[in-house]
Amino acid sequence: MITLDIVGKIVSGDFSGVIIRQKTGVDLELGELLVTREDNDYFIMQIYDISYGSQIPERIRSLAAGLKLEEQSNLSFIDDEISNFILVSLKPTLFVTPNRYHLPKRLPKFFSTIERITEADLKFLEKPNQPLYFGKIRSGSRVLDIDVFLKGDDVITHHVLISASTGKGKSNLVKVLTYNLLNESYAGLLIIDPHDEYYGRTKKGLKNHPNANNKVIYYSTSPTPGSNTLVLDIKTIKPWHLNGIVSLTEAQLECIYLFYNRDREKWIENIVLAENDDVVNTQTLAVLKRKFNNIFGISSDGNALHFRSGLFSNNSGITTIQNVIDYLQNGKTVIVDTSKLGGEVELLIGGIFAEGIFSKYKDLSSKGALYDKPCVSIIIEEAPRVLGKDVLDKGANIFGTIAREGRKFRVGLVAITQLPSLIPKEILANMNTKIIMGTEMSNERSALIESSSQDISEESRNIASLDIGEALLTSTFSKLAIPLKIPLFEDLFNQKVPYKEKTIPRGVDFD
Amino acid sequence: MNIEIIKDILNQIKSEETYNVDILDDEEPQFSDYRYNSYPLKNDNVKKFIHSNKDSRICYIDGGNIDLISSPSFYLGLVRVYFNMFRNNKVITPNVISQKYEFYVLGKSLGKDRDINFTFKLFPFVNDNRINTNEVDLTFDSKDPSISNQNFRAQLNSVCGIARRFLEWKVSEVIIDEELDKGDILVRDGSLQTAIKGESDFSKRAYAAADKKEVTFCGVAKSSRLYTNKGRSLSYAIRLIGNKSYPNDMWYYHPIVDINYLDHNAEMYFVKFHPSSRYVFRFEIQKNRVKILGEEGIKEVLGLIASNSMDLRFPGYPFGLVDSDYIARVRNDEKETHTALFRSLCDDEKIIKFINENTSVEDAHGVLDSLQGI
Repeated sequence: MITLDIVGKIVSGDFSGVIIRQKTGVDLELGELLVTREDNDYFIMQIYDISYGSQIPERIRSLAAGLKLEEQSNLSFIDDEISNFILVSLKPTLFVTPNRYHLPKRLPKFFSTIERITEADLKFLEKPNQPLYFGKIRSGSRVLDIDVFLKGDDVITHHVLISASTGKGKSNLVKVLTYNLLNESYAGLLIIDPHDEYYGRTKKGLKNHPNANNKVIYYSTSPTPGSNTLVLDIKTIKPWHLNGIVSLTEAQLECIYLFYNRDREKWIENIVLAENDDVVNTQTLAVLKRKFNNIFGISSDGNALHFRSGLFSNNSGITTIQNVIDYLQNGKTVIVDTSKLGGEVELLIGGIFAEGIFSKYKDLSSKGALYDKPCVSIIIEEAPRVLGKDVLDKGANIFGTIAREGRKFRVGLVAITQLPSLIPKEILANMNTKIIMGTEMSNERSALIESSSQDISEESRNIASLDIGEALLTSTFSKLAIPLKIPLFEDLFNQKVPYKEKTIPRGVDFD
Repeated sequence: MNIEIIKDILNQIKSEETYNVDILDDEEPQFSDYRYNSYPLKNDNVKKFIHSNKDSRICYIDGGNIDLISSPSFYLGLVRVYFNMFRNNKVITPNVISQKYEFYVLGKSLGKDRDINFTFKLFPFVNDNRINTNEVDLTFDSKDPSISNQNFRAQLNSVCGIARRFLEWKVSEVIIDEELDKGDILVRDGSLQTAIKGESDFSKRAYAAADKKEVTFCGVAKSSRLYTNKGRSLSYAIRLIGNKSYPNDMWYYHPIVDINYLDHNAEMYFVKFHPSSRYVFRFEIQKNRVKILGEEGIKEVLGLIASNSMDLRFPGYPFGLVDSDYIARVRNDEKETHTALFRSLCDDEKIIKFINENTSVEDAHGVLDSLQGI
């Protein structure tokens, strides 16, 4: 005999929210998925609010509480289960028939019985081609054994935003996403890693993936044995790499381009070495030297150049940028450890590589060869540093350009931030997939809700209450906002069978 | 302001003999009917009782009614009778019969010689052969003292109240027959006194069913208009005595009166069902049953009802009666629904005109109320 897990009955509501009375003894949670059945069809609904209900007038309840608090009393509500109850607000999210599933266009029947969702209710979800794994479907705190996939190349090229407060599991999520992408060949990944946490220098990381030898390329200013030294020849740096990242006056820019147009690849070297120049103000030149000293760690004593760190050089790293571009267009994952670099330098390095791959893919597009290559995703932490309103107001940078135009050239961003509200609305709207983790600040939640692909206007409380590793996935490429549980990265290694083989061929498909 | 006048009134109250927190000399319940022989009020008549955990079922029954269309000669009303059952203070569902019985009451006036009679007919929402009201005459003299005062004839809408009383007894009988067993208790809302012509026919059948199955038939009255011979409320006087003897306990007062009246087949008590209750209720048990139960049996019954009188909404009043009142009560929104349904099915101009012209005779009050915003 099938035992139905009945949790309530519909008592009122409208299309914006269906109200059910919770059955006594049942504990429903924010974000839980529930179903109500009609013959062979069923509605999937999600809890967005929970409140108290009572048939007892407020003044009696207050009196009752007072009696209980202030006096020794054997009084109670005799029919407590009938008179006092919990009301749960649900949003209908999907209507499933034997042949198809779509957004609901009508309400479930009044007084219908509501049940908890089971794995069987989600069996219609399929694993797409070129899958990108996000985690498992979550119903409240309960994790269902249903893997969530979206079509990876679409998701990647249409940009992804990962938003969460500190400690909610952003890094773990990125590790899980990138680790599983190492199973696939449809995408190259550039990870700008300011905390040196993805490669796994001292603990488990992407280097431990079975395909790591072939797929993971690690650049660091202090490389591990067998990995690459992060060093760039200053001759490979172009003036536009500084756009929107290094603060420059008009006069300084003019000076830079003057040197570049005249000296080409020696423009930095010659600025640093220049004593005086006929057409450039001495003071401008002095400021630029100081700035280059700060950024590139480069200075001169007369005729010789001095490099303060190993990051920039004039005799090594000539192929670094090209190598990274080549790796990416061959579907590899390039991790650039920027943990020892200052913020401005980190962004400069990221920007140099991003500009390189973006230019390459633009070129491929013009030659009609764009789809011969895997798509590319650039993962950037604390994204408002390059995508923030303030930053973009001062001048365009390569990340802003990719956010706006990258989709056409199959280059996407994975922007990670705690403060999505700092990113302009048009860029947020261009981030067609959002992975929203626990976010306490209401203005940040509002920014996410307003720019989401699904109507998640009722999800504000849900988002605020998301625990570590819990997320809400909204995407143009999914019909519904999907509650997620991100597995612990370390747990991926505990699976006896390699992850890809174990995965149940189900997931959230495109249509 | 009238401060001095109010002070005079308060002084007047304080100077009265009845302004006393003890029983007065020779104070006793006052019954004008010679069939009621009262006992003087005595402290010794107050007895303490405790909760009972006996496994008996207790059933509570109440009715409600409302006028749907009312005029002097044509009437439509709605009656609802509802009961619930508890065992060990938990709600249980009946095995056989429905908990709710609803009827339309169609009443009309008839000219008879120099007088006016009222007659009514019941239309059940759901047919149930067990609820047969054709066994009694449903025609009443409009000046019958049981429904009118002596100077004025009753109003036609009184038939709805009559129907409700009859149905409460009838449903009680059916509950006892179909659902209750030896040792169970049925509590109705109100006293066990019958007042209307034909009502005792119903009550006798209910009592007979109770006797047959050894069920205790009793009633709890929320209000009492009984007095002492000193002019005080009997309920007030007994509460003074009881609370003085047992201020922190449950107690009952007995004996009060010997009733030798066939239409009031009951033994009367006043009971405080919860120590912290502000209320003392008139409580009656079918007379024959009192003899069988004895004092301990009575305490057992009271203890069981007291166990059901611990609800925070109304401490000291049986929750079963709170619940049955809540369900049985017919609310105004229901009235609007039924009236609208009735009128919407009047597809004939003649019947619409008949109803409108009849009701317009009485609805002038409503016009004035609407002017006051009532």
